[in-house]
Amino acid sequence: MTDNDIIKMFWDRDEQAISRTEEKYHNYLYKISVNILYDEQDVRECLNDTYLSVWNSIPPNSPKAFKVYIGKIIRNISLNKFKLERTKKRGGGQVKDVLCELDECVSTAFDVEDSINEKELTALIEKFLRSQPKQKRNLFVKRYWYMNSIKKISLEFNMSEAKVTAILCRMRKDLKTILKTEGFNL
Amino acid sequence: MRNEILLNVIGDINDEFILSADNVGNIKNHKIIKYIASAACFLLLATVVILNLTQKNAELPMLTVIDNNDAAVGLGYEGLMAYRISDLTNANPWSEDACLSTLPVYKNLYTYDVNGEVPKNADEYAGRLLENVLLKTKNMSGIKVERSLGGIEIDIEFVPEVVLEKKYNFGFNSSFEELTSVGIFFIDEYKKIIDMKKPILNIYDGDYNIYGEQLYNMFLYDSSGSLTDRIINYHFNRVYFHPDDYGRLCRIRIEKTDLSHKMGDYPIISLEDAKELLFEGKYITTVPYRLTDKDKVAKAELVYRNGGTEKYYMPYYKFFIEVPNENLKNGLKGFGVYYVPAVESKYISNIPVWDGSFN
Repeated sequence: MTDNDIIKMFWDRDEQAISRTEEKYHNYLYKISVNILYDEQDVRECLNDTYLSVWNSIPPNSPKAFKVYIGKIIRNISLNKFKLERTKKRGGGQVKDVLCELDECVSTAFDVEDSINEKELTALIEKFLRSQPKQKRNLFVKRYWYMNSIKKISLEFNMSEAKVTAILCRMRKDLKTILKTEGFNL
Repeated sequence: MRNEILLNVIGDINDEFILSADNVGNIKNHKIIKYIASAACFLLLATVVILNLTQKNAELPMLTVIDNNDAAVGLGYEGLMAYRISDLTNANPWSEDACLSTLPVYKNLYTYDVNGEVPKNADEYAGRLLENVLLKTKNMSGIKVERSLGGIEIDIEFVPEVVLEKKYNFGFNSSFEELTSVGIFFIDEYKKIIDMKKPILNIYDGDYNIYGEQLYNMFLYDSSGSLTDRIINYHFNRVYFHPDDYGRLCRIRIEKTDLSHKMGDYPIISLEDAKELLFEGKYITTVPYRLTDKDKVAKAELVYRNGGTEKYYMPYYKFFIEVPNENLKNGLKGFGVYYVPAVESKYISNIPVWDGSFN
């Protein structure tokens, strides 16, 4: 079944839409969530919340890339759950390591009163990614969007973990420079 | 927290980036399926030809090469940045004055499946490797020994990580000298795990990032035996040491490729013959630059491509060519990598001819 067929089912309020989504994308959604939460029960809850969220958002939305659309939903839901569960010291897959890594892009001196225009920041990150060779772009997204482990990334890209780590380290430094240049004091 | 803001904002990037990264596994699928279809055609043709011809070494099976972009790293293609070619280093036992007329070719018994993953039939071999390492480490405490996730290597994780003496600087930015110093310490400290007759340090790369920082990597291999033995060990029998972000030793990785299926000892061409093929366009590369007769070979070495998608582990000449338009203002130059099969052409059913496409 194509993604357009599934979207049409959502628009027609056909409850089979959720089953079809689950059949097609369960593994994909599961991998995104488990990278963040690492707890089976939490992941199951996020999956259910995701299907509900998709049901409630289509219509009026009609995403062009359905897979990415639902991927973003579960990523956000999982990250929110991670923040909630963090206080209970439960779960936590790759997020802690990823946050530590992204800390390098954050300035050590910043004014807490500064507000951040998140849309502009997204646009800047997109600009940064476009300036990178495709391989590096994909590496960055695999680590900081999908939150795959360094090990898994090294296997996917057939390179050593040390090499993956070194490339990401260099990219974070480059990103930090660009953020500072463009006046984003994170 | 600001790092959380960054993480959230990354979540909102354009779908094109996410789809592109998602296709990394799928690209391998399509390439492997396309390769299998092409290989099947060539194999059929080759079978007909072979039945009608007499060959000098009829017992040597025909080989096929694959053209893949798995080695494309960092620059977006396989290559390194350096001020001069001599910055790039390694301890490859092969040299231009090596007198080798044949080299062994092995079948890769565990080529990645259509999902780009190590196939299930690797489990038994990985299990034997694991048992072997468990035996060597049975008297050690503070470690966790397991098969690498989705791979065939064996990892020895230190729990907690090993804090080294202050004199050792062990990290991603360690200099050649610093890695040499800590490497010598590792050879002595972990000789039972390393288990090699004559372990030798291979400190390699030495390329630069855009900040002018020179970066090296390291592994050990066994330099005992003949030149052929050493070349094989260099490529297929390695021990890696991994630092964490704090300069502690966090993992030892043992890579020992299954070479139990030998195709034969194949005659190899000379470096000069390989250069001719190179400038005839008969190479595999990810570099988006077609060679001309004005280009010069900066460096050449003989290597085995040992990626998971290779059908055969066979020798290639690896050429480093300076790529124009990749030179930075600070004097750094980009050196792209081009491969020419070292095995005589008559044993290869699909001699590569670069079609201009790249990553």
